[in-house]
Amino acid sequence: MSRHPLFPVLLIATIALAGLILGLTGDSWEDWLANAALALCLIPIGRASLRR
Amino acid sequence: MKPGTLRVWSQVHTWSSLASTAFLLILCLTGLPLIFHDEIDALGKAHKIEQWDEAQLVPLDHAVDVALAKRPGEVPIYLSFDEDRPVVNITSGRSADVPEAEMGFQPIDRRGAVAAGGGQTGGVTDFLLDLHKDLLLGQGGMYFIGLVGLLFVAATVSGIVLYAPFARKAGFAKVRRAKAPRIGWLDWHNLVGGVTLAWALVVGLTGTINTLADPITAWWRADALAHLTSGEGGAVQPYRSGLVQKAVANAMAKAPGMRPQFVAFPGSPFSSGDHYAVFLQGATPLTKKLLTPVMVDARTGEVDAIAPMPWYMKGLLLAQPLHFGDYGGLAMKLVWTLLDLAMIWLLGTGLYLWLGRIRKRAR
Repeated sequence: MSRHPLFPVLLIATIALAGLILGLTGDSWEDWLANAALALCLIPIGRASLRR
Repeated sequence: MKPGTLRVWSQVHTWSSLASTAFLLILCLTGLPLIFHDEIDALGKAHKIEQWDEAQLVPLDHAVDVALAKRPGEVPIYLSFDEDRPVVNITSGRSADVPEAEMGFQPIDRRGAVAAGGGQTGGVTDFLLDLHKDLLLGQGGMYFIGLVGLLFVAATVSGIVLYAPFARKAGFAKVRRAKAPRIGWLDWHNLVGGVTLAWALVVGLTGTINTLADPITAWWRADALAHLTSGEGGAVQPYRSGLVQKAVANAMAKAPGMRPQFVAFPGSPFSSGDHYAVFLQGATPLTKKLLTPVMVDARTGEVDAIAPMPWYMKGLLLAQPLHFGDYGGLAMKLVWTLLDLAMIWLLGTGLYLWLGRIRKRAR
């Protein structure tokens, strides 16, 4: 069974959204997780720029 | 997807984007320095978290009286507490319902009931914030920005729908460099738009919610606040010195573990005509943002009612940090900056792609 073409986009969006909300609940590892989840959004951009 | 459906989504994407691009560019450009408004405002100022002995502080009423003595003929509207110094900020005006522009703001240090530093308005970040929230056009401008936010959400959702067939063809996060430059730019536009989806939707929706702060607060005042105060109305109770400290102490006694964030005086938009509304915040980062109002009788200083905020006020309170990204420290501010820059880039490439299509059609 082939994956839906939007699967990676929705997966990244779900993780980023979960991180954003989780970040509101605490000031320690919650913030760290929120920042990591948001930074995840930018990884595909960096990867595509490095690819030849 | 049928070609007809794709055409409809394409039209939605094109026109919602075109109608909002110029304004979104203003919002992204003004939003960029606003991410660091704390740091910019603190430039040139020594800032440290102070220690103090609660027993040595003057009562809140004394601080209010000192502030009012400097602005004769005015009444107190709000009293807010600084977190890192024993300073209360007194907002006053000719009456409790004057417009924001006519309100006076005085920070008072409770260690000696003397004027404290801070509270100046009119700086660069204030100007940028005004431009960002209403294009310097007041309430009408704010609603317009709300509409721009909704167009942005429509452009984002339609963009994702349109991305599906492209992602199937080119693969996720693939930029077809060997093809025509326009194809490459389209792939980049799709990639950046796709990966920033959640952030863009959150910032767009919370921005729109923030523009509706006044009607949402008015609704809360007419709905939940009226229930809390049992529909009592009539004339606004005049300010009497000696009740604020008692009101805050009684409110805190009803909600152990919570601390006051601000007090709304009778007749102000956040209270009724005959109550002090003491807004308490919890200890955790989340409950710190979700304020709990305690309604205190302005004649006796006794607590009349306490209730958590309704869902729509909680939504409004949470929309602010989610829009500004100021709750995750410097690291979050830096990521927010990169995402803002990505959004500016997305707007630019979107315009470039549209102009290219127009030129192609004209040939």
